[in-house]
Amino acid sequence: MRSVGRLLPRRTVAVRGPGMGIRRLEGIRVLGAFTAVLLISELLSALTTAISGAMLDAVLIPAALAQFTRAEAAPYRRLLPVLALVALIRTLSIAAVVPRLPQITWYALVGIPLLLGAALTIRLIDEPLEQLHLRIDQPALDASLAGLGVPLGLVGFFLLRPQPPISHPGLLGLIAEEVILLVTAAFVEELIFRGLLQAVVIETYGRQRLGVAYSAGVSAILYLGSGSIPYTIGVAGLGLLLGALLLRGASLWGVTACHGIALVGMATLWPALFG
Amino acid sequence: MTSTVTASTISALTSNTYETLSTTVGLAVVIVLCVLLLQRELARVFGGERLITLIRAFDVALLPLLMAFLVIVTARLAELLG
Repeated sequence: MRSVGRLLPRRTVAVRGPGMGIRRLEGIRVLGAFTAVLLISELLSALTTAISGAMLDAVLIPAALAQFTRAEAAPYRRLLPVLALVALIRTLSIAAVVPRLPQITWYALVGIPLLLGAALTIRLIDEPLEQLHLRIDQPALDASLAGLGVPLGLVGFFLLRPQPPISHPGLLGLIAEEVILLVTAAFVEELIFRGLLQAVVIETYGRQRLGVAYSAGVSAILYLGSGSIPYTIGVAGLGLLLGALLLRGASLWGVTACHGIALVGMATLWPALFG
Repeated sequence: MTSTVTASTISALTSNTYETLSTTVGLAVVIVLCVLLLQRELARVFGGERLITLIRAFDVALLPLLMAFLVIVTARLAELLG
């Protein structure tokens, strides 16, 4: 954390107002309760079956949105639809998938509804687009991040040795499949975790380190189902790094390129060389 | 490999029949969909000035789940007809 802390700018958002301390504590409780349920759900998925985790997460969705409509004055209110969106990930990853179809289509069947959900969440909480870091301010940093994806993919491949989802149906098919991975897996995840969750936690609690750590922690929790503790720890570390660099001037496109190139490497390049 | 498709979801999707999946998680999605539609309609009746915000709040999950629901129904129909 200390090295990540050094990457963060010192500026923090001030959250003030009467009774704000108590409200902030209440917000921390809500965040803690949600995270605990999410953790239980992912442990259930990893240790028993993902069906039980998906069903537990399904309960969280209307609960978070109902709380959003009730808690009008709560400072943590804007966080609730983002948390509902996170709960939607596991539910859709079982419910929206048709097992008979090729595995690469699973990413699209889950990613496209999630992308729609993310767009609706941005509109609902009126999140300013500059907070999503869509503008490229430091192209060199973004290019370095994209390059970092190559060795990260290799590390991920050796840690996980995944079954490649790519079916190699010719050059055009291969390009289409890699675009699916880049857009519906890498971009969607980075938009939800780094773009939305991290930004809203920072705005809600006024602490950048909390925002970076929380979004990295939640994304790592969702990787518990990978069945590999070293890979999950690696995802947490990568989340901390990408979150911190996002606040240091990297764009969402840069962190997406890093994540996407790592994924594409794990799916095509590294299995071909070392599989 | 990603948070959306992990080893545990692959295992659940390949070791269970589609019937099991659609009668467990699929059914849960349909129930959540009904709850969200009900909440949305209650918001429409009692929402007052906050109506647009309330309806938009439920749409965050409603529209993605409706897409999932359409996939479930289409796949089940294809399975029954094929």
